[in-house]
Amino acid sequence: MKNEHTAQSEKQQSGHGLVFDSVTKRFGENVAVRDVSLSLAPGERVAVIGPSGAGKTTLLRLAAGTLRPNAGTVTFNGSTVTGSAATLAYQGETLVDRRTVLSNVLTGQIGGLSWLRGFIEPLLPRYPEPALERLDAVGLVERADVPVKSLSAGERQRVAFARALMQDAEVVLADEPTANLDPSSRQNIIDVLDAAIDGELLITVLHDVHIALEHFERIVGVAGGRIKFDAPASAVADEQLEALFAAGASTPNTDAERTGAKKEGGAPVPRYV
Amino acid sequence: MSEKYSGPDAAQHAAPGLSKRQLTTLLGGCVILAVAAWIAEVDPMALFAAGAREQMVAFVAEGIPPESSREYLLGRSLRDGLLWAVVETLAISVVGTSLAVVLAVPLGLTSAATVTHRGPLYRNASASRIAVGRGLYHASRTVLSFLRSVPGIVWGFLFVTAIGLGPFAGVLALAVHNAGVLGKLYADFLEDTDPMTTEAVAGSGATRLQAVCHGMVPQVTPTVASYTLYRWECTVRSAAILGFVGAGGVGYYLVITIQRLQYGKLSTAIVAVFVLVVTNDWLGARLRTRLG
Repeated sequence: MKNEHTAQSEKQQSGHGLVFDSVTKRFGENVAVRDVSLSLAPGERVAVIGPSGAGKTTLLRLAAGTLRPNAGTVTFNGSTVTGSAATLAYQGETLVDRRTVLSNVLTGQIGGLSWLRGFIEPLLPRYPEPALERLDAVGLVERADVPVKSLSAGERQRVAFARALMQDAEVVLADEPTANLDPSSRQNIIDVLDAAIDGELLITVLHDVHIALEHFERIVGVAGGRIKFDAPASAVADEQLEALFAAGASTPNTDAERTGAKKEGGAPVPRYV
Repeated sequence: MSEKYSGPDAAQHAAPGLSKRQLTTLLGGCVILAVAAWIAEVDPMALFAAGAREQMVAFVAEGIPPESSREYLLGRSLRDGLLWAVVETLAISVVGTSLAVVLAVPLGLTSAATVTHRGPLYRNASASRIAVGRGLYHASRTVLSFLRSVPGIVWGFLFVTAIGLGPFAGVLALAVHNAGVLGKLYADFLEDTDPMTTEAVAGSGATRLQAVCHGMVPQVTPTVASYTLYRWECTVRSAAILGFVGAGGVGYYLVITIQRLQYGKLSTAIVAVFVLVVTNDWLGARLRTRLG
């Protein structure tokens, strides 16, 4: 948390860390992200905040390489981001309910296996050590053999972190980890995330502005698909926050509704088209 | 409470009784029923015509008591007799349903749009990949519709013609027809899975096939198992009439005793089918509760 200044100077070097260069992403008519340029250094801890439909989740998906931009590039250390450079921790409710905690965490490493082993291995967890290590990091190792459906929302979120950490990626992305949690677990889940990662670049999309300001050193405010401010947490003014959420209120929310409305206040999730 | 509510919102609440729309629906339903009855040549008086009554009385009179001779029930050898035919019916349904599942799983996967061309697995797919997926999807949906639309007994007739009389023709008939039924069910379940769960698995670098196997399929396995068991209960009833075309099972006894006017033997066969179906429903329900 103390490497802010070195990070600030490092990020000026082109091609080092995670770099968004004039990135635009459209979904049909709707522009979710407009001409965004952003540079994030290894080891930084960044919170992305903004109103619903601002394009936060789209930014995260672009960073993870699960979405490709319509224009511009997203690179990590100079090459296009892929699943192996960046890992996205999805929300706890995206776990497979009927499977055990351990087998859910093991699916996190499918990408690193050959297709045949990736096919069979998560069903026969013969090498559970790496998964148990990750579960230990999030404090859930003793629940490894429990089916996920019997866990609380907070525990599920921790399993989702462990699953994402299985990839040993240099960039860890977390999508609204505090969603669906009660206020006391929200603080706790961020602490767990903090403790579990180890020098990776951490980018978290957060709905809760107070938690963002309290736990993260760098805050990126996004509204209407554009970056409105990018500043150290201590330098973010109340007026900036007010302007951010006021600007977002008038923006159509179609992207969030299509891709991630589930986390934003329980709005119905339409089927993918 | 006894006072009548007359507040400002009173007028906004609809009066009890049928709304105009409900009334239209009801009338429309009646019209459709009347037309359908005319097409189906419904004639209740036919039930009370002189000949019909005598036939039914004769059936009941001659059907009681049911035939219960040892020879009829057990036959002269192992693969003979009514009881063997009941066991054979059950066996046809078990093997037929299992084979149907084997056919339905791959067809169900290629008939689910979320597996072939739509949803989170195809966000970055090229247009040509999506076109190929859509082609596969439509082709395999068409195959499923065809398998499903030909009734089991017609498949039975076709297989008897091809491979000869016997229960194996019945097995194939049930397998092919039910592959169509189950394949469509599986595909619909797969299309109804939570896309975010699949995306999360795909996000860990999994290939599409891996994401389907470890993200999508585990979401539907309990439902699939339960519906497959239910479908097995249905195939027992279908298997009971496959004997009409010589495809094995107890249906042979139903059709042969009707043709020979052996009503005593017919009522025994009906009782046997009844016991088979009730036992099977009970067993299926128990297994499904176990699945939870």
